[in-house]
Amino acid sequence: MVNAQSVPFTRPARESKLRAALGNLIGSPAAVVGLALVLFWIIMALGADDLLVRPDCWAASSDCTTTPLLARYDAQQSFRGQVLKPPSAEHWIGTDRQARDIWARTVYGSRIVLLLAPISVIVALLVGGSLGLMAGYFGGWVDEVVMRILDAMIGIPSILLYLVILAALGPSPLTIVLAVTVTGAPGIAKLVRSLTLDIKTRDYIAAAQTRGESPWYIMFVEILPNARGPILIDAMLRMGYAVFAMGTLGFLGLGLPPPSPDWGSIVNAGRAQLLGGHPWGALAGSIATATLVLGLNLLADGLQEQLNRYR
Amino acid sequence: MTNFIFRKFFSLGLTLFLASILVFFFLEIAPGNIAINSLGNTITPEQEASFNAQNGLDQPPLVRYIRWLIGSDWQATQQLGRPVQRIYDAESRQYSWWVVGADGALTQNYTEDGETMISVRRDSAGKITEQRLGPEVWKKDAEGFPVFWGINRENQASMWVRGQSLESWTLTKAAWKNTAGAPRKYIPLQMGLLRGDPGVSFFTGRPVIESLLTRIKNTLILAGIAFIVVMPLALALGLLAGLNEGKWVDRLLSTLSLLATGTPEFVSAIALILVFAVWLELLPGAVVITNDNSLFERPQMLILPIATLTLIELGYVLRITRTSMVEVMRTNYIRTAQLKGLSKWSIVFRHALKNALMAPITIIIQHVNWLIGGIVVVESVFGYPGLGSYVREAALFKDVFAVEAAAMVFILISVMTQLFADVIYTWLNPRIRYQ
Amino acid sequence: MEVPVISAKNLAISYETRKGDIRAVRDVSFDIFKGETLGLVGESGCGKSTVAFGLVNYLGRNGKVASGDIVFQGESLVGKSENELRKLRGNKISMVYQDPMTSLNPVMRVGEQMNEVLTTHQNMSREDARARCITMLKRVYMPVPEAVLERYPHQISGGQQQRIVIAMALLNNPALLIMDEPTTALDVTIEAAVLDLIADLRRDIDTAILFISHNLGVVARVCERVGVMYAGELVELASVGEIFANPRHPYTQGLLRAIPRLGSDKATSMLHPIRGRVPAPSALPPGCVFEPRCDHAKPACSVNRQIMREIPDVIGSANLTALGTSKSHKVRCELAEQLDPKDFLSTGDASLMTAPLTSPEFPEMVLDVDMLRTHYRSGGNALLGAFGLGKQNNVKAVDGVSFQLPRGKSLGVVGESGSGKSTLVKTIIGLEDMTGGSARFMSFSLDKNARHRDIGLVKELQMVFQNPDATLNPAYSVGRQIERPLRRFKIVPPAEVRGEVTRLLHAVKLDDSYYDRLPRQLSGGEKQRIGIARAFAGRPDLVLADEPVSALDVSVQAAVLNLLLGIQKEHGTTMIFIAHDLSVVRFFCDYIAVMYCGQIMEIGPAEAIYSPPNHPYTESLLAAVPIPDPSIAQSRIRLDGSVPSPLNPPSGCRFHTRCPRRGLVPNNRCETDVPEWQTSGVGHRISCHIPVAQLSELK
Repeated sequence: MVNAQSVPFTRPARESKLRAALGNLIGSPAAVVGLALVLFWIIMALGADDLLVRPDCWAASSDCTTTPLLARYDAQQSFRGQVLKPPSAEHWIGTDRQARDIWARTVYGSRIVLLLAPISVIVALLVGGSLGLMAGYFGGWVDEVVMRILDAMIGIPSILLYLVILAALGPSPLTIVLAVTVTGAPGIAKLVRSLTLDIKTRDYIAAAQTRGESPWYIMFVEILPNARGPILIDAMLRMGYAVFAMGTLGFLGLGLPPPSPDWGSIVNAGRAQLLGGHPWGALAGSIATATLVLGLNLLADGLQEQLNRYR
Repeated sequence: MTNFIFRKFFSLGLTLFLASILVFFFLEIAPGNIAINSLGNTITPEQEASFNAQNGLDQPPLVRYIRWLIGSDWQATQQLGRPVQRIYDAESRQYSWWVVGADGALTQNYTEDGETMISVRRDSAGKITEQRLGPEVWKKDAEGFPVFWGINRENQASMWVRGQSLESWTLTKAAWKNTAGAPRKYIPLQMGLLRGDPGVSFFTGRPVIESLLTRIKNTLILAGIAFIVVMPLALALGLLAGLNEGKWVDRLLSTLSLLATGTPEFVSAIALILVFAVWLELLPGAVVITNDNSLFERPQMLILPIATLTLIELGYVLRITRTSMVEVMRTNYIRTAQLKGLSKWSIVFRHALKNALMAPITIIIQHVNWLIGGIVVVESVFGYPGLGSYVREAALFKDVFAVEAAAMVFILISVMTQLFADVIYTWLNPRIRYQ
Repeated sequence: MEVPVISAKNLAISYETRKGDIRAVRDVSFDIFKGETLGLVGESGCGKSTVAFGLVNYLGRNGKVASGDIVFQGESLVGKSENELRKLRGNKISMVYQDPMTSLNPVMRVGEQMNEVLTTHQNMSREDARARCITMLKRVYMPVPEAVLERYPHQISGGQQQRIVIAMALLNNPALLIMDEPTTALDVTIEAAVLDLIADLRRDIDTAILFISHNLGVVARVCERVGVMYAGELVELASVGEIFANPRHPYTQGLLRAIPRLGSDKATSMLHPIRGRVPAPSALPPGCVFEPRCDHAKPACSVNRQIMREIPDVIGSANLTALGTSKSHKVRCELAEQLDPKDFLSTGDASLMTAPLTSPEFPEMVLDVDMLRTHYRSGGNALLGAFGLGKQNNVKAVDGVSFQLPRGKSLGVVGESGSGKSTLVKTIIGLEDMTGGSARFMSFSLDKNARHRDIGLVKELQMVFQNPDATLNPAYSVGRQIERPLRRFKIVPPAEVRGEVTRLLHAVKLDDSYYDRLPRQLSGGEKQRIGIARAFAGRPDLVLADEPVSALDVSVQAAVLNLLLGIQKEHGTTMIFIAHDLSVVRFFCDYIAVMYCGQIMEIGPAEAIYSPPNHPYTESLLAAVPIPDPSIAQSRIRLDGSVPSPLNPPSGCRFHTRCPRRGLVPNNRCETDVPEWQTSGVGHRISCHIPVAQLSELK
C-alpha cells in the first residue's frame, strides 16, 4: 500500500501555487520587464494627483481640488505664452499647441486607457465567455448557430467595426467599450469554446454528469476553472489590443472628443507638428501606448511560458 | 475535398451576408441620425423630414436594406409601369435615371406648381427637350387622389399629387434651397451594392463607386507590395528562429518580433517618419499623388508606408511560424527522420517545412484583418489616397453609403483571402485532400 | 567467443536540468549478439527508453552519456560526431517506436518515407529502392504493397502502420534493431499479429534486437534474454526461461506476483502489489534503489549500493549457448541466494480477500438489460440535422445487448476497441441516450439521461474511470471532490462530511494529509484511488468501472484491483468491469461478456469463458493474450484487420468477416443469418452457427 509518509508533506495547495506562480513569473525575464512596464503606468495613473491620497475628496468631491502629484500639472491647464515649447525643466516633455503640458496630459491619459481597456475586456469576456461555454458544452445546433454568427463577425476586420460603430454612435467612452466588446467577444468565444470542447471530454466531467449535476454547474464549476489559464493569457493580450485600438482610434480622430488627454488624441494633435520639428506630443503618446501594449504582451508571454511548464 | 471547399464557400458567403447586415444596421438603424450627421445639428424638423423622405430614410429597415443591397429600380419599375434606365454622363461624371418610354425615349419629370407636369426628354444623342404635359397625365390612385409617377431630376422615382405643391429642402453648396412642386413619395434610385452601385455619397453628392475604384487600386498596390515583401521574409525568419530554438538567433528574432507586434502602426509610422524623413531626410514622409502615374514616377514615396506595414506583419507572422516550427521539430516523425540518419537539410526541407507551414497558414491569412487595420492607419499617416484613408474620412464625416461600401469591399477582400488560405491549406494537407 | 553486436558497458546517462544533472540511467551493462533478442522490462519511469535512445546517442540537447561506453561492432559510439552517428542511424542501427501514427510523417507518402532510407544510406536508384520497399512490405505480410506505397499514413490502420515502420527499419539490413514498446498502442489481436511477425522475422534475419516493453507477457513471447530495469538500473538479467521460472531479484519477483495469470481468479488466488512507487531519478534512496519497496530488505540494504553479480543459472537453455550467448544469470541483490525463487508463485490466502459468495438459489437480479441499442448520429451538419436535412450517419455503437446481473456480482466486458463496451456502460449510467430496448435497475427504468433521472436513482449508479489524469478535476482539492457527492446525495449531515471524507480516504488506504492536495500532486495510482473513493462516496449499489487499471503500472494495478475487490465485498456492490486485459477480467469478475461490433458474442460465468466451448471470437482473443510464462504454448489463431465500422456493420453474424472458423458452417449462413443463442451449461450462452458440441472439440 502507498505509504503516505514517503511523500513529503506539502504546504496547503493555494499558498504554494501562488508562490510557484510568482516564482516562475520572476524566472522569466520577459515577464519581469512586462510587469514593470504595466506597473509603471498603473502607478502613474493612480498617483497622477493626490485624489487617492486624500480620502476626504472621495466623500465630498465637489469642494475638493486635488493637487497634481506625478502629473505635476492639470491635464487641461494652459500656460500663457508656452505654445509648442520643447522639453524644459518646467515642462518635461514640452507643451502642445494649446500650451498644455504634454507630460501632464500623458499621465492623466493613462487613467482613461487603464480604465477603459480593462472594462471593455471584462465585458467582452463575460459576453464571449458565456457564448463560448454554451456553444461548446451544448454543441449541436446551438453551437452551429452561435459559431456561424461569430465566424461572420471575426471575418470583419476589427478596424472596420470600430469605424462603423464610432461613425454610427459617435465617440464616447461607452462606444469605445462597446466597440472593443463587439470586436473582442467573438475571439474569446471561439477560444472558450475550443477549451470547453477539450475539457468536456475529460472523465471528471462524465463523473459530474453521473452525479446528475446541472449543465450550469458543470459549465461554471467544473469546466471554467480549468480554462482560466489560457483565458487569462488571452485577456492580457486583448487588453493590449484594446490599448492599441484606443490609441489607433484617437490617432485617426475617432477617439474621445477633444479636451480628452487620451494617448491617441495626444498623438493625433501632435501629428501636425511632426514634420515641423516639434515631435514631442506625437512621441509622448506613441511611446506611452507602445510601452503599455508591449508590457501587456510580455506579461502574456511570461504567463504562457509558465502555463506550458505546468503541463 | 470539394466538399470541404464547398462548405468553406458557403460559410464565407454567410459571413458576407451577416457582415452586410451588421454594417448596414449599425450605420443606418442604430440610434443616431443620418440627417443630423450629414447636415449638421442646426436643421429644422421640416428639413430633416424632407431629407429623410428624399433619401428613403423614412422607409422601414428591411426595405432600406433590400434597396441598398439589390437596388430600387425594380420597385420603381413596378410603380411606373415602365422600365427605368441608368445613364452615365461622362462630362459631369454623374449617373442619371430615366423612364424608358414606349417609343424608347427617356424622360424625367418635374412640376413647379403641382398642376402642370413638365416632361424632360432626352434623345439618343443626349439632347434634352422639355415639354409641358396636359392634365390628362394625372391618374387616380386607389384612394381616388390624382397622382403622377415619374422620375424627378434628382434621380428619384417620385409620386406627385395633383394640386399639392409640397416643398422640399436640399442642401446645395451655397445654402439651403427650398423648392416647390415636390413629390409626395420618393424611391431613391440605385442599382444596389450587389450590382456595383453602393449609392451616392451624402458628403460629395457623387456616386460612391466612382471614387472607390481608384482607391481600391491604390490600396491593392500598397497591400500587395507589403504582402510580397512580408511573407517570404517572415516565413523564412520564423523558420530560422524555430530551427534554432533557444539560441541567440532565435532570441534576437523573437525579441524583435515581440517589439514589432507590440508597437501600434501609428507609432512605428511616426518613428520611421522622424528618422528617415525628418532627421536623415532620405525619404519622403508623405505620399503626394498629382496624377495617375505618380506612384510609378516616385516609387520611393511607398517605402515608408510599406516599411510600416511590414514591421507589424513581420513580427506576427514570424512568431506564428516560429512556434509552429518548434512544435514540428519536437514531433515523433521528426525523431523518426533523424533516427533514419537523414541529413539536417533533408529533415528540414522534406519533413519539417510542409508541416510547419501548414498549421500557421490559416492563422496568418486570418491576420489579413489586422493588415487592413494597418492599412487604414498607414494611409492616414502618409496621406495615401487608398481605400483605408477613404473609409476613415467617410467615417469622420459620417458618410454612411461611403463607409458601407468601403467596409464591404474590405470585408470581401478579407473573406476572399481566407478562402484562398483554406484552399492552400487543403492542398498542403493530405488528410483533407484524401478524406 | 563471438563479438557482441552491441554492448553497453557501465552505461550512465544524465540530463541537465535546472536543478543540476540528473542521472536517469546508471551502471547498465549488457551485450546483444547477432540474431539474439534482449528484452528490457520495467515500470514506467525506470529508464528503459532512455537506454534505447542512449544507444544511438540520441538524447536531445540536455542529455548525454555521462560515463561508461557503448561499443557497436567493435567501435565505441561515445564521442562520435553527429555526422558519423548519422551514417549509422537508419542504416546499421534502426528503431521502431511505440506510436506508429505519430512516427510517420503525415504529409508524405509512405513510399517516399521508405525510399529515403535507402537513397540516403546506399547509392540506390529510386526504382531499385522502390522494388526493395515492395519486397520488404511483402515480408511483413502487407497486402497490396504497391498500393500502400502511394498512400498517406492516415489512410492506413494502426496495425498496418506498425508493419510499415518495421519494414522501414529493416530496409538496410540493420545489425541492431531497437524496438521501443512496438505493440503498446495496438489492440490485443493486432498486437498478437505484430508479435508473430517479429518472431518470424527474428527467425529469418540475424539482426540483434533490443526489445523494450512494460508487458511481461509480450517479452516472454519474443525474447531470448530479459533484463529487468528499476529506477535507472538493470537489476536482473537472465535468459527468458530463467527470469520467469527462477527470478532472483525481489523486484522481478514482485512484478511477477503482481500480475494476474490467465485463468486465476479472486476465489483461489490474490494479487500482490509492490508498495510505494518508483523513485524519481533526482531523489534516489542512498542504498539499494529498491530497498524502500522491498519486503526482504535488511538494515544494511539502506546503506549498501548493490552491484550486479553473477549467480548460477538453474534453467539454462541449450540453444542459447549455440548462439554464443552467455547463459549467465546476473542479479543486483546481495540477498538473492536467500530468496525463495518460488515465492512469486505464492497465491497467498485468498479467503482474506473474497470468501466465495454463497449464491442463493434464486439470485436477485439488480440489473436487467434487454435488447439495448445506442445509436448516434455522426457527421453531417448539426444545424441541418436539427431540421432533418443533410446527410447523417447512424453509428450503431451498441446494437441489441441483453443480460442480467445478480446482486453483488461482477460482470466483465471484454472486446477490442470499437466493440461498444464503453458505450454500453455509458448508456446504462445515462451519459449516452438509449435509442432502443430497455434497461432496468431494480424497479427503476434507466431509459432517461442521467440529467433527467431521479436523484435517488442517480446515487445508486456510479462510475470509475480509466485515465487517472482525467478522472479528477485539476482545479479542486481531493477533499472537495470527495465531498461533492456526499453533499449532493446528502449521504451524511453537513457537519459530518469532513469525517466521512476522512473515512473514505482511509478506505482507499490513503491518509488524512491527502485532503488538501491537488490532483497534480498525486501519482496515477493515488488518483485512481481517489476516483474510487468518489465513486463509492454515495454508497451506490451498482458501480461501473471502465478500464480502471489499464493505465497503471502492474505493481500499482494490483493494489487498485485488490482495493476495488475489498470495497466491493464490504458493500456488496454489483459491478460492471470493462477491460481489454483478459487476465484481469478473469481474475476480477464472476461473469464475462465478450462484445464485438456492438453485440455480445458470448456471455457466461468467468470460468466457462476461459475453456471450450468458446465463440470463435473469444477463442481468438484468448489466443492473442500475451502470457507472462514462456513455457505455456498458446494456440495460434490470428485475426486480420480490425473491428468493422459500426456505421455499417456486417450482415448475418457480425464476426463473419474475420472469423477463423467460418469454413465450418455450410451455405454461407454466417453472411446471411443472424446466429441463434446456444446454451452451454448454466448461464453460458454463445451466439454462433457452429453447434456447441463442435465448438467444444476445437482446440
